[in-house]
Amino acid sequence: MFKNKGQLSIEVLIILIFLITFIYVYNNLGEQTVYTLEVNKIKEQEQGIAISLNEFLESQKSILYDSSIIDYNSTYRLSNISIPSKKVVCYVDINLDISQMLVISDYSNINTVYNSTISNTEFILPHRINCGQEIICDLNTGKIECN
Amino acid sequence: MIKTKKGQIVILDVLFAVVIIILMFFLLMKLAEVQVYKINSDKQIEKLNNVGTLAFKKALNNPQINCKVVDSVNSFYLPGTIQESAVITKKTLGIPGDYNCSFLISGVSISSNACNQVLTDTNAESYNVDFNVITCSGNYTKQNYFKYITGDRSPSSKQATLKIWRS
Repeated sequence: MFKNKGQLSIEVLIILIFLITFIYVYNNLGEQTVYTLEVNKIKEQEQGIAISLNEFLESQKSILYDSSIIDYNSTYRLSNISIPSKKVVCYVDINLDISQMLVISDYSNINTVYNSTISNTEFILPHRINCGQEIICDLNTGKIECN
Repeated sequence: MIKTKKGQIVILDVLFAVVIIILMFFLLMKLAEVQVYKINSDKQIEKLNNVGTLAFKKALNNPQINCKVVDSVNSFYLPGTIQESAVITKKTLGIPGDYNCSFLISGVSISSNACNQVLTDTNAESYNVDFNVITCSGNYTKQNYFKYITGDRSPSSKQATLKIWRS
């Protein structure tokens, strides 16, 4: 392979270039795969949070239309988003005017939009609820108020 | 693979390995793409199932559409019953605007039913559930309610069909 002492043949050079490229490409691919998996995991959990919160609020609506209920109090805690590498901070942005929930995470600006039927004619809700936060709902002047 | 010069075999072997690795790389990318598509598709189906399950629960247990039992003092709503005069909308059943629905009760015409869309695309994913309900045209008295639950008078149940799909 070597004609003279200390001389690298073209084959060894090609192998070295190939190895460097191989390591670089697979390292990138590995990072991208982890990122894609994490994004999907976060999106999945964001959708779970939106679905769960929507289900809780939808079930509270019954209180408004049952006149036999005179006192009511209900508590709900939003779940957190977790991935193995780090804790992801998130919050739910609720827009009652357009009946829409937006779950936002501090990981690469990932968010999930969830359309619901929760409106300001039935609910008084904080504009923003953080993940892990507990909300307490009461009846207030014909609406369900959660804080 | 003819041995013409020193080192030629090594080059050919390396080239062969490079080609195989590139092919494997593209195969891996294709598999990942299929996996991501499956995850997204599963998420949509999960969302549809969830909207459907919630609507089904709200069709069974909802003071806005359930029959009411009243006496001179108390009143309560009966789960699994539906007033024929109920106003059924997507909002009543908790169905978001980006989904369509069809809610039918065999042999009964609900006076106001906005959940009456038709699913034209036969290949579209949809949530379907058939269940039995009892319908009423007015409030139940407590006497009637007792007669019903003790079996003196059995109101006939009707089959309701709820179908939900993404618009």
